[in-house]
Amino acid sequence: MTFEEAIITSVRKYYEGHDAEELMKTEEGEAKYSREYFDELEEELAPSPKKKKKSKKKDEEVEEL
Amino acid sequence: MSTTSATRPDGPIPGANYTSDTRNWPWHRPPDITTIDDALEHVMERLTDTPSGMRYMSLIEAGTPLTTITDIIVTLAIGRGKFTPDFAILVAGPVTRMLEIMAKSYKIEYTLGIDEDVEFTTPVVYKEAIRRSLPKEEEAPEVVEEAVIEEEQGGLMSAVSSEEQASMLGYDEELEDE
Repeated sequence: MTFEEAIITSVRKYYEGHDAEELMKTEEGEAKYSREYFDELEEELAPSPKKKKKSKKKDEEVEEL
Repeated sequence: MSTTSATRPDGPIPGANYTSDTRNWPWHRPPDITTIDDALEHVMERLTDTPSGMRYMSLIEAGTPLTTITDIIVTLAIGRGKFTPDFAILVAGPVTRMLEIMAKSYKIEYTLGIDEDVEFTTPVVYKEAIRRSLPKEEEAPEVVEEAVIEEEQGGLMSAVSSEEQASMLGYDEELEDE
């Protein structure tokens, strides 16, 4: 296996939901850059269109009330 | 630099690798970063505070998979003595995720590059295998039309007919009648 193939395998495993658990245990305290952090960052920088629509609907409901 | 030419032996002296000081290379020293958070912090800084971030975005927009960009980033970090190669492989996933978010924020279409090429057997192969495994049916003997081979007549070395032979000898039919 080449280094490039190892990188691809590692990325694939990450996207399947596997984390480097043993490495994360060596961290002091809780890891900052967790999956949740990335999800929040994604929502902040590139909000998904579904949630945008929902928020618009909510705004309309509020206006109606 | 020729090491094969006997007239100009300018290759390294055997054993030079044991005497040279390799500690000057960053990747021969202990890595600067050993935790995931520090590694991702370093990558994040490289992506946001330097023009290389936009360069990577241009590459992604041009169709380069995110895994290839990740490979470039972590290999550069290994070269600078930031990570060990093993650590770089472990950090590759979050680095790709970071690139993905960055690409999404710039509304750039990207490919992850993690799709596996699934090799499967086509139905043609199965059909052929089934066909070969079945017992062979006894085939009806084919009726071969016998070709009527006409004998060649009048070949160079073939025997002449009796009539021709008689005419050659002078026994014509007319004379025989007389």
